[in-house]
Amino acid sequence: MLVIAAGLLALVGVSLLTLKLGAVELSWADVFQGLSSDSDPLARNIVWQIRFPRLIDGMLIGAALAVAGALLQGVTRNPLADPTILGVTAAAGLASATAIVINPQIPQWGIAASCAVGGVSGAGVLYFIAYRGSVSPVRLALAGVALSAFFGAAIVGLLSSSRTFLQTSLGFLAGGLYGSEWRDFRAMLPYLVPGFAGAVLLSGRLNILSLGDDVAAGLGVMTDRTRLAILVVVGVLTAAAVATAGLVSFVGLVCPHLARYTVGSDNRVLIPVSALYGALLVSCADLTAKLLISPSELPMGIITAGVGAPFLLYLVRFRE
Amino acid sequence: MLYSGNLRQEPYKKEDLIGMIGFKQRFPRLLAVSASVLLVMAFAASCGGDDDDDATAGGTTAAPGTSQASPAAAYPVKVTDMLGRSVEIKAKPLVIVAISPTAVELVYAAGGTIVGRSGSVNFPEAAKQAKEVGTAYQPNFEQILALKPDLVVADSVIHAQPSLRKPLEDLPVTVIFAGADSYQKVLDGLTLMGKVLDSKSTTDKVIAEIQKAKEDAKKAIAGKPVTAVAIIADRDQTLYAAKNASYSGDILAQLGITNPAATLPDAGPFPGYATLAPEKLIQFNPDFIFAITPAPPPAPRLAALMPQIPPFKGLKAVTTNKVVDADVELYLQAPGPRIINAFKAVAAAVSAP
Repeated sequence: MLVIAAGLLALVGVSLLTLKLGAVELSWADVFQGLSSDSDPLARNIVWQIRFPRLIDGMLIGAALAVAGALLQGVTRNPLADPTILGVTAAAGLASATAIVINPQIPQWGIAASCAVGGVSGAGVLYFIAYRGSVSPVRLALAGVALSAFFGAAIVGLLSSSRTFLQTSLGFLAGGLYGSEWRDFRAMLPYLVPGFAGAVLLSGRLNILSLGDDVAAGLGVMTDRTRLAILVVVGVLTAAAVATAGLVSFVGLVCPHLARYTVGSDNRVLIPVSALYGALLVSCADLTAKLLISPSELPMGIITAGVGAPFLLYLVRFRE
Repeated sequence: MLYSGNLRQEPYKKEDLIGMIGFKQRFPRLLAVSASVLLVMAFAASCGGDDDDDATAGGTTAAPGTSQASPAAAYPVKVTDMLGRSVEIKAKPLVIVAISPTAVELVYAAGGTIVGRSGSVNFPEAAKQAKEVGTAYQPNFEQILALKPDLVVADSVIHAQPSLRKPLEDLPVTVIFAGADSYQKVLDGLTLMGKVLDSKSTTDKVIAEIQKAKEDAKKAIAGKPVTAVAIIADRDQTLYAAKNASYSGDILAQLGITNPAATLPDAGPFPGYATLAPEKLIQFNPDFIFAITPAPPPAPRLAALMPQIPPFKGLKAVTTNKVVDADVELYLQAPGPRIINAFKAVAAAVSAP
């Protein structure tokens, strides 16, 4: 409980800093005025139209990716599972890039919808390939890596052959929240609400699933259907994140591990705590990305990968 | 190099000064200008944004209610920007942020000044004093708003992609998109900016100068059967040739120069440019090669490299010393009113003995 309280406190702290710090200097009074009233148009616009929606978007995509990672790690019983590593992110990204190439002026909800189709299809392909007969972590990892490479290559191919993407495609590939606003929030919501709800509802069954298929079946859980449902939720959550922030990596890998380390592996607790850590990680990463070379900014995904990649190396080297 | 240093800035500098004077004097002077002129303007404005109505006959029919002797009488004006958006300019924009080199130059050519600009702006000199608000490809929205602009001029070429266009459109200030990737678009951009800043006479002058520069250049190279390609090299040494859909390709085409690369299939990441296989260049063997180096010095200049690359040593343009180091700003990075200099530079290079 202490950990959760500390996490929430940290999230509040980062949120306040995010609202306070940026390319334009604002006082705390400006920040609160900007949040609460229209009286100072500049503070209002910067705090309420630029910083606040971006903060909310960041927390939501962090939570979405972390929950997707927790679900994937649970359902595959593989500590290395993550939407990026298993190709779900790339599948959603490919769908998004394709949609933008077909119609460069596609509205944000259209991008979100394409991502959802891509993410769920990617998860479906993963399911189809990796779950014939028994669960094999090796087969799953191989299939995921192959899918990730395949979709990733398709994205780069698409980006380099199309005229729609130029400089901004870097931000998309690395993942970032540059320019994200209320519009993105509204476009994500129809996917995030059922996604998070599904994750919470399925967390109990995910616990049973982790006892092994035979035991789970004995306890009345329809293992295959549950897995498929979980993968669909993973696809939807990942898609919402990709639609807003591009290919952000490693959030889904790191956060569930941190959560497992702090609250144990009961998915009913693990999933909400992962969400909290995801929100915290992405909002910290985004704040860093904004401030590091201000007034220019780095793609936020560089920071999450900078934290996530060493963590993966640690897992590979020192853990089971 | 031999031409770009001098010709580049001189003629436009003068025009810029005219524009500046025009702006500073025009604004207060409008107070005193006779009502009929205001009426004509008001009428032209009310005629709607996108026609280039001279409105010479309209003066008498304009509504008398708009004849208040105030400079605001020409406003509000409705314009259609270069992304086809209908934008209402409520009052004469005085605090302007322009976020691409083209946008900045269009504003200055129309007699305006800016308080904020994108990072890479080098021209006109006065614009460098303006505060930097991010780069053209990553404008900083907070800094733009902090300047409290009453107009943001975005680039209809650079900022057309949704990831930039949407947040710009959502800024709580008036935003217009103006840009250029062809000769005609430069003129369109000037016309638009003339309406936005109520300085049609200034922009008409610039347009006339551009048209004259084009005709002069055409005359200078008339009768000379010329083939030329404009090429750029990126950092991995891939060559790209300008097709007619690109700004530099259009400059060649406008002058009646035959561009053998025009028929290449679209390939590569740059709109309007096609990846150019070295053997294709040898096959084209153009009379002139305009070599554009996007990377800033001390990166080696493409024009200097060409003669050193063995397969290119036999090219006609190389043996006759007709590989021209073309100014990257003029031909690639800052399409705009300085197209005058681009025309002059091409004409000077082609008509040189």
